[in-house]
Amino acid sequence: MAYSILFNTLENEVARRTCEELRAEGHKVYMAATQEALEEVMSTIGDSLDMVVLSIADSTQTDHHTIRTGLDMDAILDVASEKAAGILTMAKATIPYLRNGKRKRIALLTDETASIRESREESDYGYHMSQAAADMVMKILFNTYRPEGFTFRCFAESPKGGMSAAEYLLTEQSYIETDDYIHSDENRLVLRDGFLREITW
Amino acid sequence: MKTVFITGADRGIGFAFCRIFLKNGWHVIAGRYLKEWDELDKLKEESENLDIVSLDVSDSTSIQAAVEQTKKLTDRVDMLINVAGIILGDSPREIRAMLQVNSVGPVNMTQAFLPLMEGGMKRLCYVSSEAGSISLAHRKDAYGYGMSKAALNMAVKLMFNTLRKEGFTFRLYHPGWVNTYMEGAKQNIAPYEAEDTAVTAYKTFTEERRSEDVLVMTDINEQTWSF
Repeated sequence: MAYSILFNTLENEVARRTCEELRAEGHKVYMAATQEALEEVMSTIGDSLDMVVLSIADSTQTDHHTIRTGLDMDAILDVASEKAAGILTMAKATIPYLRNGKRKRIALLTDETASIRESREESDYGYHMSQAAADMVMKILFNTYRPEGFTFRCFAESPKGGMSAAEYLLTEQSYIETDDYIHSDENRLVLRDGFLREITW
Repeated sequence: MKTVFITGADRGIGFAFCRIFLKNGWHVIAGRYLKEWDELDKLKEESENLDIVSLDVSDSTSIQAAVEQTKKLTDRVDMLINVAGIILGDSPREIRAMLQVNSVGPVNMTQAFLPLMEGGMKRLCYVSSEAGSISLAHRKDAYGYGMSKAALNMAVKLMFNTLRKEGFTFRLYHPGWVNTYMEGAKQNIAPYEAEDTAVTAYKTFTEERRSEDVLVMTDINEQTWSF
């Protein structure tokens, strides 16, 4: 079955590769970074989307400064607010279209440095802070829309192989509607890597 | 006498922290944002160990001015407590404002005050929130506030990764649901008052831990919270 899938950015390698892989599998893939662009896309394809794929990474931007080498607070704020608020805006804007779709799926492409617990990073404050903020967006979306039947995927592609993001985003998780709520992987928001290992927040 | 610098000290939790540190014999330097709020002035009349410094944690110029003023008051700050915070709505402008005060502000304060902390106790304290716990978040709204506190937790971890190996120790604290002024007028619906959480916070911030190499968020009941 071919799905209609929207990306909020193709500025990073994983998003681009995922987009290409999904397109090669026959899915209809679109990109819209703003609400205006989303409305333009939807005016051509109808009123439903099956999945939105969100990501914040931008391979072209890195900041090597640490708390000891002179952080640029304005730059950190610009990166964090632009990326985090952007994710929230696009996620909320797609909800009406996802409601009409076949999968009702919201996905986040991130990487293992998004884990606050596991992080060994000392730089790229704006990016890492926006990763944590994006994770929180996913959690509140999950709390709000999971009861409506929306499903969620957070994925950190592993550099050592395993599933690709495209493969993982379309996997189904255990879910039996009549079972206890906790007896289902679909009813938990987790971050997984390509080997399906859960990465702690 | 040890010296502590407290941001957001005008009222609520920050003010309660000032009082309890003064009561325990500390030299308190209070970062004041609200010039028209006079609780700190009244407290200063009771204690010669309180100094008041103007501070807007969203403004780098204000932070640098606070550092210069602090240098005139002391040659060493043992502890920095980041309390200042705001709650707004979920528009992009409001999210940016919350990130600026709640998330980037504490990083900016830390960077600016590090030179003054080298010879002291080297303790960095941050008031976060359960709202920043991605694992345990239960809200269906207030995206921006949760995002700002999750971002703060990440920022504290990044600073921890650099500064812990230099001997700095960290406290990340969820004060509990406290009646505060964060939304303007003081709430009267929460189970705790600022004075209640100040008691646990004082203990948490001043005590030594067996495992300083683990960044952990604890609360008013000394329970730990997952990220």
